[in-house]
Amino acid sequence: MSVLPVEDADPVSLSPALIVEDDPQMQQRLRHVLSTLGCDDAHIAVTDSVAGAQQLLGTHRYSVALVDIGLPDGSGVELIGWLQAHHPGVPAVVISAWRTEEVIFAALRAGAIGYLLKERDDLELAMALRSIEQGGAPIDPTIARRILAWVAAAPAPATAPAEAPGDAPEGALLSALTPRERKILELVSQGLSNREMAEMLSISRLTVECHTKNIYRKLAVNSRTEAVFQARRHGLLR
Amino acid sequence: MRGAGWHDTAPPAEGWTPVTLPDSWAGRWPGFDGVVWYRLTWTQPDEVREAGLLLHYLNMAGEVSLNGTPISRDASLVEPLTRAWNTPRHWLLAPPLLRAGTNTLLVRVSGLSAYQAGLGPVELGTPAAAQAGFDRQRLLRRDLQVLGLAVSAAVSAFFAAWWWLRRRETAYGWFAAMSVLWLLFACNQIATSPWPFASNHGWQALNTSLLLVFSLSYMVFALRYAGRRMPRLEGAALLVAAAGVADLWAAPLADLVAHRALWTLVGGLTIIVVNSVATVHAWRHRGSPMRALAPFMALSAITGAHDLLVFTQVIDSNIYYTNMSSYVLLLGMALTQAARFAQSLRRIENFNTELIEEVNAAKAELAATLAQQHALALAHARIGERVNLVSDLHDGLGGMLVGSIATLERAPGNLSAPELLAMLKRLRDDLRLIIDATGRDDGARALGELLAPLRHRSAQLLDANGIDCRWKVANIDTLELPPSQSLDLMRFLQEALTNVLKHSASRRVDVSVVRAGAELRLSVRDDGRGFAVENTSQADGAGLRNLRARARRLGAELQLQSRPGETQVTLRMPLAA
Repeated sequence: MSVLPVEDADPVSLSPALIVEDDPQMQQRLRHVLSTLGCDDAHIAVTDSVAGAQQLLGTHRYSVALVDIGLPDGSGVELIGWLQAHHPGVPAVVISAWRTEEVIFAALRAGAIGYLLKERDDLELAMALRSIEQGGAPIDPTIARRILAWVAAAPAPATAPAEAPGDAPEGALLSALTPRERKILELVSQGLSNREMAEMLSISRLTVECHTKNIYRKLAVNSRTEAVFQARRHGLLR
Repeated sequence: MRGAGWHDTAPPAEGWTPVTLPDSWAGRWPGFDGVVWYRLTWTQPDEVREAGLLLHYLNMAGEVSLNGTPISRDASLVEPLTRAWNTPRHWLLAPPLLRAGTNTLLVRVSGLSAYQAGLGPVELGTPAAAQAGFDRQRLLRRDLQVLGLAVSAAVSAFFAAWWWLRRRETAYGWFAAMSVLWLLFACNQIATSPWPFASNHGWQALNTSLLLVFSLSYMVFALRYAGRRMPRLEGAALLVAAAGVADLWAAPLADLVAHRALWTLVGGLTIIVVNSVATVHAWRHRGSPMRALAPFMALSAITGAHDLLVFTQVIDSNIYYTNMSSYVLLLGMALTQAARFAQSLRRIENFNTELIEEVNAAKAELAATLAQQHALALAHARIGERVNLVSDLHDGLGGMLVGSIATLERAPGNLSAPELLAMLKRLRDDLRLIIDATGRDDGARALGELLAPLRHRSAQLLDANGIDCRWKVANIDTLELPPSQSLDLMRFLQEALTNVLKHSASRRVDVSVVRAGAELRLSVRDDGRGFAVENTSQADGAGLRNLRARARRLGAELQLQSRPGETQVTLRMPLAA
């Protein structure tokens, strides 16, 4: 596997890691997977609640947070949003159970840089985490299709701020997605593997993954500008 | 003075009686039918050369002569007498007929005492005054009557036509009948001969009968117009009218006057009562249909009463107003009908608007119902698919579970951890496929889309194991299959790929899913070590057995080719048109 550095690759260190997960078995599993990726067990902190995570994040510094969605005292999506606001330097990765496409999408919009599906083999989880470590972001056909559908039905506020002078937002997702990023989303939604895409587009596999990560970033930025726009529109912000 | 016989040509010399005009001799000489002479004398001043003479009427027929010269003679002076009772006459008198000094006007009247026989007022004045008086009398006694008859005929024709076209509007039928009867009755005002009767008695009997029948139909009309039916009253009225008619025709000539008076009174009173009751009813009830007619009926009641008084000679006149007021009633009826017609038109127009609105509402409702039915049908179809899927779950996943349980029960100790793991993973993989094949709620059903997760997952897995996986997909972007069929196709692919991953030790695998015409072709080719196609009894033969079973279920043809370096599994499934 070629691990050539890519210009805009943004590697993520997997150590020290924070696991926010209330299922003990899943906690063990993630510990194990992280350790197979060379993460020292001593650098893995585990908590089972939003409050616990917030407390730990207040006192310690983590280079990555693995966040489950259904936590006893709140939603992982909210925690990710909180993380973006208070500790923007800590990237968040969603841990999701079956069929939670909507939730995954919401988490990505909140700022998550990737997601892990609990139903996958340990090997697959490890591959996804490895990809994240190298600066990429895993994606699958369902999520790709979801993003494409969302872009196609881009709501008016997504483009409206771009027209307002002085606002100069980072841009609506529709216009922000480069043609290449769009192409990648389309190929992923058809089920093509990273290798197939890399060959088809004559780029490295890591570059493919970096593109997905950028897509996620734009999704999150877009969601923030949209929030600002909506807040202004409703007079909550001046 | 009374004449001696019907054929007298000269007045008797003696026996003159002074009378005041208008004169009706029935009171003086009851029962006298025959010729009566009236002699009027006046002194004409020398200087006045011309004079106008106006004779309002004479009853029934007569001859007028001035100073011995006849100046007017009716057509028939014996029965059937000319009916000149309503004919005014006037003359311009001039010399030599008119003399200075004493002039004598002799009026010979042939009359029947039963019918107010006598002489009407006679006026002598300037020619212009006489002319004006004559014009007025002619207007009242003739022109207006003729006009009324014409109007009456037109209106009755109109209402008769109306009733003919709309039989349930019986009120109009009665109105038409009543108008015709009135028309015939009113002919009396202008008829100048008793034709077709040989005598004036027959004519008068008919006239009174007409009045009776008219009053009956007038009553029925009023009832119908008010939307009422009173069978007993109507029956009684019919009986009375029939009795009246019969009596009029059967009564001896001598008593005819009394009978005629009686029945005329009955008819007249009936009309007055009907008018009064209708007027009161309209007055009392706001919604009464009589309301529009009430003013005309009130007028009719008043003139009716007046005419009855004239008839009974309580009022000394022979001008009857009922006839004219009846035309006012006709006119009122026409106005009322015009108003009703206009109202109906408005209602029809409103009805059209309402109808359009209702039709639109019905259309919307129908569209909603159809949409609902469509949604329901769709839901049913989905449920049907789910049911298929559930049975598939039972057959596929359930079968696998049962097999695993049986294996574990048979040899609980002999199963290694990896074998157990493989068993569980197989179950999990099948569950994944089931979820993939179900599609999403937004209706993603095309095979190409359903295959994407499987393709992505298997490529990742094979990739991680160092196997280069290439897919070729063509013409299945829009291919929609029943979920259970899609599931079986996906199971087939998964099985084949699992076999490659587990057993082939290959470096590369080519997957192809292509629709060509009415056939779907799936093939998985690897460059591994291959296997003996016939050998299905060994452990790795289970996968092949499964592939065959799936092919059978899909109604597809399975081809297996294997030799070291190239193994190909092909499934060819015909597609329903």
